Amino acid sequence: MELARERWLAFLARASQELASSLDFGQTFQSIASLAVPELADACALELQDDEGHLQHVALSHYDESTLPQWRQVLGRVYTNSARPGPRRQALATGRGQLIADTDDAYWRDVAADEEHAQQLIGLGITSLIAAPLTARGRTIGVMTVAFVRESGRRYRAEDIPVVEDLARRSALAVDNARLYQAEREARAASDAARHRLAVLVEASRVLSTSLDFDTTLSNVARVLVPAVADHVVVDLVEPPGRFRRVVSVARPEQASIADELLEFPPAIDDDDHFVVRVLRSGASVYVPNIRNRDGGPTIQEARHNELIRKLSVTSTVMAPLISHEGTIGVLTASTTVASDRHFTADDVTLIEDLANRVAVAVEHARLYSGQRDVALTLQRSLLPVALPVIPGISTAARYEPAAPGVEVGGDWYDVIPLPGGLLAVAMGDVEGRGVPAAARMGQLRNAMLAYAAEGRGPAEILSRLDRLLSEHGPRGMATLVLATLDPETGLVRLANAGHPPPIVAGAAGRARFVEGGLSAPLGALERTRYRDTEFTLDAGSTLVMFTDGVFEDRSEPADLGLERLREALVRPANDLGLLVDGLLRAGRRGRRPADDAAVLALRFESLGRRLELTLPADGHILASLRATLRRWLTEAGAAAEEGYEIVLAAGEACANAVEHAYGPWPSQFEVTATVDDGLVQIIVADRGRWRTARSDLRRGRGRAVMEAFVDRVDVTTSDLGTIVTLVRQLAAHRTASGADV
Amino acid sequence: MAAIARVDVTRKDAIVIAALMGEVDLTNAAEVVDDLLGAVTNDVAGVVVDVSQTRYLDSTGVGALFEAVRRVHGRGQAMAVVASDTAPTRRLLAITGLDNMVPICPSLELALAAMGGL
Repeated sequence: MELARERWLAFLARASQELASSLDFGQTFQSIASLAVPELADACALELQDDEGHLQHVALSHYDESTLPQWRQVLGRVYTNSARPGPRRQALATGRGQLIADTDDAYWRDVAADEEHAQQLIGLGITSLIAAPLTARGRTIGVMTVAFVRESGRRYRAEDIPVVEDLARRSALAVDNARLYQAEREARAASDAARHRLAVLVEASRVLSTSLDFDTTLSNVARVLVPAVADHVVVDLVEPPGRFRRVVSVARPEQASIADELLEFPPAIDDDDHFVVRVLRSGASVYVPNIRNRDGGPTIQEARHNELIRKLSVTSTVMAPLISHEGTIGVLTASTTVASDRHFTADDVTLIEDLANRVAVAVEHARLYSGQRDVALTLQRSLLPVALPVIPGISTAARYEPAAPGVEVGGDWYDVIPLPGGLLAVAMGDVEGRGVPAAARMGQLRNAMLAYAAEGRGPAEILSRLDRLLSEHGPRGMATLVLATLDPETGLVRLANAGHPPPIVAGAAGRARFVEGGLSAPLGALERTRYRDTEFTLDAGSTLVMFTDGVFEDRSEPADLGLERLREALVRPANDLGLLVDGLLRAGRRGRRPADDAAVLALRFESLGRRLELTLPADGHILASLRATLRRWLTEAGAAAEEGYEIVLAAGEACANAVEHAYGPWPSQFEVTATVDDGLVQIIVADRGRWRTARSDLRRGRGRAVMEAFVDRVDVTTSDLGTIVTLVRQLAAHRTASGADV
Repeated sequence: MAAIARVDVTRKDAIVIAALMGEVDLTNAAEVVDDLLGAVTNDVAGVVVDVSQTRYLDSTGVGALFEAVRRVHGRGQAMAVVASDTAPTRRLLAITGLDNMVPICPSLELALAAMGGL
């Protein structure tokens, strides 16, 4: 009998709802099987293949429930020793739906393993059946079977195969989604811990950058660690030389009085057995993961001190050196105690060591700078970006290091700015002169550059204008500046250089070259300098590095040698950009005290990978850059230009809806996940609002129709938690390459 | 990083040709309508909107075109749209039904001819 198309469609609609409603696929499968009977089948079974290839029946439904035990007996096994493979085995082997339009006893004898098996099969009374593979991500994971029995007299026809195949594919996705969900939950749990540690670091860095009274700043940093990571934190500084001063001792409230009293017991600097002294001497940190002996140990002389330590009851401890340019200047000791009954993990140790590094820098700065120098530095620092913009597929890192004490602050600066239209501007400059005037001029130049860039002008054009500004209106003085725009979609760089040291492009394949093109005179040096852009493309994995002359210049050698040293250091660039810029500063200066300011900025153009995961503010202004990211990802995934355009259009509609869903007084976010597997592109846009007709007059709810026209499949699931739009499209290149559209 | 769109306006006899450049989405569609209508002065017979060079045009962008048609027709002026026959944008205009409102032509010449016949 023929199944009416509308009935199939109605069934698929209901089935899709079931599939989307739960992440428990066992339950979902049972709903699907139950839905199919009796309308579309007299019996329906869904079976999954286990690791050994055996079928495990997951769901079974029959209009006559009394026959279920009989069915269960037959299901769950695919016989390989029969004369002819059965429909389920064929479906698994070929990945295509198998129709047996009319079965008779002879057919079952052919596919049965033996006579007993044949009798079982015949006993089911099947007259017609379709078996379709459950396929997810190109892998067959099981089989779905629908059957009619003698009593109903119905028959399946060839036209019914694709419909059953479709239902099987959707059902398989439910399994896949459940697995993905599980994997994602696990990944998220791991990243939560990492995020927590990052948050501690960020907060500590913020505290360190607020220039309060020095001792107060350090104790505030300790309070970031306690109780988030540690239960007790002590900082011992060598101050004055030859002895320790215990600057900080902070504990949880219940142990606060112990911590306060411990301030009076800094270690003796000549006590070679004391761990803190050993850390000071070696410059290496000490980590004791599990302390059972809660005594102070043999080095503790005073009874009161020992008593305090016993009361504190440390369970694990990390002692990290505070290393500055002058050597180790102190030790930060962080401990867990019985108050929390926890122990440090290896990740905690990394965090504490990192924090100790930052504390050391803060201590050094506080000691070095005062008066006028402080003002210039503050001004200069305030003009550098606090954080570099985060753009998928592009990572950045920058460092600024002032010159040695006794030398006035210079006018080094850098910036990374997203421009309207999606380009990224990258700038590195050096203003002639020192101290407050240089820092102030640098600020003027930077603001003018931002304004010209926002007007959409190219690098050379911006430099020409800055040149005119400096020679006609501004205060006297030259400045060097290298300015580039990067198209995050293609990696195309346009760059112009006003007398600045040439940037270096470090390729992924171990090549590093200077960008010599686009070089002209410094700003304000001549009458009307002509600036020209040079263009080049950053390949995936290559890094653009800009720096000021303070990074490499050494008066004892020609500048070329210093530059060449930097280039050599970039032939095998570090994977971590933070390490890369630190390494460059070290390589350039060869361990000497800097005679000039130094700034270095690195930007890497990275492949987006097969899986793209973005969490974005629900703000229309991010849509343009999101589309640029998607275009680049689709190109990397192998999409042809036109299909890339169409997928971006469909995804753009989904994202525009997510933005429009956002309402309420809180900043809202939405998530975009794009994956590609065997040419099958899936883009999921999830927000926390309800799907609704667009608010804007110009949108008028046309988005859904547009999405459906430009991808193969659109699923919209709305719940109290939000709306999830899933877009699926098979890329054409893959369809022909693999020969089969599975 | 907002989307950037620009309306490049030229004139051919009594017809205004407005080429939509850049990307049109919900952040700038309303401005695009304003720019389009601003270019269609009272002394012209009609406007050809060229979307064949538009980098991105979504359903909000089409909504802008609908609004432009409504207002242009309301003033008794004609409108035609240029979009390449094979481009996804052409399909977009068909799906949303804009092709029921105005002639959509594969080239500027044909669009001008269509306007001439009006």
